[in-house]
Amino acid sequence: MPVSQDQELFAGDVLLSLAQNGRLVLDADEAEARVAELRRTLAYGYALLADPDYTGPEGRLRELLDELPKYVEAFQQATKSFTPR
Amino acid sequence: MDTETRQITVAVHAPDPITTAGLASQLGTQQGIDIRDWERRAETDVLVFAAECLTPEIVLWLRRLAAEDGKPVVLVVSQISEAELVPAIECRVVAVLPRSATTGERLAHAVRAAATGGGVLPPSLLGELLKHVERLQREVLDPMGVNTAGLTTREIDVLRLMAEGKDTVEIAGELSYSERSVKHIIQGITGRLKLKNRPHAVAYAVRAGVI
Repeated sequence: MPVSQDQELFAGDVLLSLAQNGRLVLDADEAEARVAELRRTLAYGYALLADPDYTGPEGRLRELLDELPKYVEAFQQATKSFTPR
Repeated sequence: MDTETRQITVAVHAPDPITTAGLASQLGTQQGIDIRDWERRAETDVLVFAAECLTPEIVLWLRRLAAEDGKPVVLVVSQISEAELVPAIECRVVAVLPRSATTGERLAHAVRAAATGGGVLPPSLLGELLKHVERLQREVLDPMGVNTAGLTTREIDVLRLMAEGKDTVEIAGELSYSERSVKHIIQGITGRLKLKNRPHAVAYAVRAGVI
């Protein structure tokens, strides 16, 4: 699992693996809501990255924006394993 | 076969023989649970693994067990941090019990749930994973002052009053904003989140659990 200093560890690969193995199971509504939240977060994150006034840790933000799509994919797969679409 | 009636076989491992014997003894008195030697763990339904804390060596060991046997693991630990929970889940841990609060009944309940869960994460661990996802999202959203629903505190205040049936004038009065500001906030919410009108915005906030 990728480690980023003392901040929250990333677990996108773990979640993807859990979803692929059928261990991460969410009902369709829950998964849809989580995916929508994550996509919104990604949109805000890209906006933040493009903001010339942003003074936060850009490296960490880039890491988050690289990692969060894995969570989106994991939640989508978790739904598929529960409710075939 | 009905898991209520069939025997669930369990192998127990702890850092010392006394703890191993204690856990096996507690479980052994529970109906429907059959204890096997650790060496015969490949033939069991569930593994019970006790440790003081999750050191990197223990995580490695659990990972090896998951690869070899693929059995669900009930973990009994004295302490575990949020950061250690995800690696534990990765190693097929399906329940985490604090050592100080582990009784025979609780252990048996966790073992039965592990045996019947089909490997699916139980709600408690799933909840921890979802909290982890929220914490990551907050790292992105906090600098912008919005929550995971994409709403600011000010917007949530306005939506809450809208949900109470208040009109623009009443909301402005209650929050000490101008009417123009309230209209601007509502337009910001509906425009940004592609919501059709005020009731749609209120419904969105309710569904997102922010009001």
